Amino acid sequence: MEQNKYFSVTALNTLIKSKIDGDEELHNVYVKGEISNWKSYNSGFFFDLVDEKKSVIPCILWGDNYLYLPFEPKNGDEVIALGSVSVYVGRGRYNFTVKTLEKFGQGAALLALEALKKKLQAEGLFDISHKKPIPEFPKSIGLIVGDKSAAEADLIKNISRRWPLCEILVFPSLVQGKDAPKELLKALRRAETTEIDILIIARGGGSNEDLSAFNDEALTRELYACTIPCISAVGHEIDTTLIDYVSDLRVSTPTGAAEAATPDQQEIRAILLGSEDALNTAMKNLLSKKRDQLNSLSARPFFKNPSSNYAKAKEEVQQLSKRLEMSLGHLFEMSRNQVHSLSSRLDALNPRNVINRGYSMTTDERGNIVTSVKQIAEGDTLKSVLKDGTITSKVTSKE
Amino acid sequence: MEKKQAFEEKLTRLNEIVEKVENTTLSLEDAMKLYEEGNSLIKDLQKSLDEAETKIQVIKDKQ
Repeated sequence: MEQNKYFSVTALNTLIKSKIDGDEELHNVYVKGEISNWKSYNSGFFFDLVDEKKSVIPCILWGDNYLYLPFEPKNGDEVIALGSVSVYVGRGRYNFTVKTLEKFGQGAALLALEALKKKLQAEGLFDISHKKPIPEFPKSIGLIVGDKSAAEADLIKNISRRWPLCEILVFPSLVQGKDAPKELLKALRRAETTEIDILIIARGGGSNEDLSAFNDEALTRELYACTIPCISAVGHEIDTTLIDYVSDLRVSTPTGAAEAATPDQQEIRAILLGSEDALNTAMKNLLSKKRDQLNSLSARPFFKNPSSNYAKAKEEVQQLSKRLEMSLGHLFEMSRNQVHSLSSRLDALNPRNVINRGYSMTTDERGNIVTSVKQIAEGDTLKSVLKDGTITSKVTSKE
Repeated sequence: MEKKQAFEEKLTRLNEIVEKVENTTLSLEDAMKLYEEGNSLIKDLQKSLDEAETKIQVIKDKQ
């Protein structure tokens, strides 16, 4: 045979590989099967997918992709694998390189749920701004729970322990199975006709399927429109249902819901005792402050020795009056001296004194003092006033 | 019902009183009045807690 009429093994395998690699139909496809021969290696995992006709395809799952799986695969699991067909040239084998695995049965439901969640989110049903605050001191709490369920017992126990002042209204409902969504909706509508302050929707943990009633669209929408503040406690921490997104507060357990809905009476009692203490202390402080004020006031000189306040004033008045007296005395003295000197000056001028010393004073008949001969003529009568009497004489001549 | 409503109001009033007595300068007379009011609120509130008993009512669908 001529050389160009046959392939080398490698060339054939390489050709097959290029055909398969180039075929879009064999890339990113979903394959359903059951896991068997699960083996782990350093680089990743090898296993077979088997179907009911016992047909097998070898699969590889690299370690990086394993980290992102939503569950831990094991032999016997029915799964849907997403991946691509690839060829191993060296061995002439093909296998299915898996990107991700999902447990069968959940895939479709999960996708539908994811789509519904996106839709409701886009409509704003999960908006934080729509969330109502949970009242601090509820007088009445409604419970939507399975009839006689553990969640119901847990809630009643914890609410009455924490806050016995509130009334509990129980709205029993189916919480799983195909009728559960309808029942839950009815229970919610019943609750809306009552005057409760807080509504709690609670259910213990379960499989995703068990919890699916709480993903019901009608129930979620009704709860969104509900005017009562609502706490949801469905499943465990990792399970989040649609009503958890739409409720005003989401907690992971019924006990957590009871705690979120009520104050703890022990804390309130402690606050009351604390207030009592605070009032007593504040009152005691105020009283002792007032007492100190009183003491410091009564210790002041004014109250201690009232007369001392007047003594100074009295002294001042005395001094002033002394000064007044002194200045008055001085004034009198001065006046007296003045009068004295004036009177002696006056005395000196008194003509009577001159006469007393031996002089006489001559007047005419009318009493005018004669100081010049020109005033008189011969024959005029003159009067001379002397020390001890008056002489009347007649002018006989003048020179 | 109104007794329960009053719990929160009374507690709020009590907090106001404590705040006032602790943080403001009051006349002795005003302080005494608040002190008495506060103490009687505390007694009332303790009493309602002591006497409280949870009422449980089951409301089923009328069928």
